[in-house]
Amino acid sequence: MDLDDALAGVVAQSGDRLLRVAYQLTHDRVAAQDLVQEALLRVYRSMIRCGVAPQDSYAYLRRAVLNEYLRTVRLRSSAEVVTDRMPERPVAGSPEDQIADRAQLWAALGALSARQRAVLVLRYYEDLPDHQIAALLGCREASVRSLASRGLAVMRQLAVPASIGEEDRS
Amino acid sequence: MNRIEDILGQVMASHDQEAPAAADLLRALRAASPPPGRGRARRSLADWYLPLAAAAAVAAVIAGSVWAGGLLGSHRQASPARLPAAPRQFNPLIPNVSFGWLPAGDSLIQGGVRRTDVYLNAGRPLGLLGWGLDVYARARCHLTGPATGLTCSTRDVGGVSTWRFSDRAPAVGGHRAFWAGPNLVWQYARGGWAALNIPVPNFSALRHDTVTQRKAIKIAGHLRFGAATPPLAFPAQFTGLTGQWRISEVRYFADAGALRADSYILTTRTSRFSPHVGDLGVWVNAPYVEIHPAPGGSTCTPHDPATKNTSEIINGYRVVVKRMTIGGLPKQEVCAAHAAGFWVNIEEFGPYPTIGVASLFKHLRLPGTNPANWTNNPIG
Repeated sequence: MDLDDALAGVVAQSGDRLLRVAYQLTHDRVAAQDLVQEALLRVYRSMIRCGVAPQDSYAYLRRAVLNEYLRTVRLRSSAEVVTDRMPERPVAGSPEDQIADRAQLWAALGALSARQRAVLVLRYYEDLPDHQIAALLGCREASVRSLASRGLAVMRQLAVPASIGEEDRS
Repeated sequence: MNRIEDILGQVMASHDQEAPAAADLLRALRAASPPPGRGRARRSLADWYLPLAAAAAVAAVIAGSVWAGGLLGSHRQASPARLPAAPRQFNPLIPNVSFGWLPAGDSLIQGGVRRTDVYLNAGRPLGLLGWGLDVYARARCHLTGPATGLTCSTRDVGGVSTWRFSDRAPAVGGHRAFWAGPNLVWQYARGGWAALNIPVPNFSALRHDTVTQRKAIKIAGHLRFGAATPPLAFPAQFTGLTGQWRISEVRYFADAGALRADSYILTTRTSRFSPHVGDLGVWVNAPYVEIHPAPGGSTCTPHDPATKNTSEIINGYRVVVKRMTIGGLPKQEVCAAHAAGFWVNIEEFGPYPTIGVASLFKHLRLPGTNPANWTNNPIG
């Protein structure tokens, strides 16, 4: 199998998953597609130069997507428009309220810093342990815990859902 | 009752169906391209500063008759021992290398200069893969074994590139050359190598495509070096700084015939590269400067609610000064969304910066968005 086939295989096998991770990071369909496309091109060029495909293609590409996301956000952070005004909080109880809760959480995720969001996506969406997240982000495990803790704290401030327990309100 | 941690994964998963599909991605890969300026990562120098005297000396060497005389344009056969030497380092204030010929419809998109290497990207605005050129300074590249491949190192994060030779290529300007996958690799000067990434998927596609082969050889043979390259235009100038500051890395874009340098790093003797911060590593005590005409609706809205921000007026411009910690490293940033028509962002890592970003901003002179008023020297 040559490199093109290998890359095409990765896209066919893992493209959807990569795009979902990218969407979790960006909350934007076009940006997610750009992110994965850019990461694929970078990996493709690297593979061409090295002449070999990485053993764990998905993990390799996920790392490339993550790096590209953090790089892009760092370069273009000013383009982000963040609001600290959240929708009115619903009253707990009804299914409609629960949907509203989730919408608030999703919106609050979008207000986090890039690294905080990356940590939460890797931890709660990709189910990665903190030591792997630390390796991906190039930081210490304690930093991952700190980023997660700060991210969750911000989310609690911005979007405490009505159906979430008191321990998350304090 | 739930905790945020308990339902966060579910909330994320509930948005899975909103993500684009791989089929869309494949279509996009075939039909579209990343926007200019996003095709290449910002890269950081491994070495920590470039002495001005050395840069000037290099510029003088590059500008000398050997380089300006179109060495590579010559088809005289020359052995490696008789070649003039490649520069030990590149001058970041000039492009150093430019395309003298490109296929019809292709044009320069962007480029970058580091002390160790120069890169150029060219292609069509809607093309997925264009031509990618890397030119390395002297002693950056080494043949592997009995000329089976080439390894080039720029000593920074991920800064090692390896090409495995697929076949011997026709000489470029009389100098030995090889096909390496979809790349043309050749020795452009003594101790100096260059690689041209060709917009074909692999060597199998290139092997029988003599038209593309000829284009690649022609592009390589018509490169211009040193003083023969067009100047870089910097949209702003720092004035009144002490003499210790240097421009260490420049990225530029081709814009209506001008080479608009809108991203660079200021370094001094105290600047250090810290490879373990962030995903790519960062320079400490080295302001990252990014200046370009302000797009409509540009803003300096902080993206991190935990960041400490202050709004100030400096030099008559409203700026946002941000302070935060990244990877345990303090970071400060000053941003002006609309300063004389420019969007300006300066960020600096490190607990004891030689000069703070707000102070640095006071040294900034913005001549306006007309490129005719821009400068070739960003440190006045």
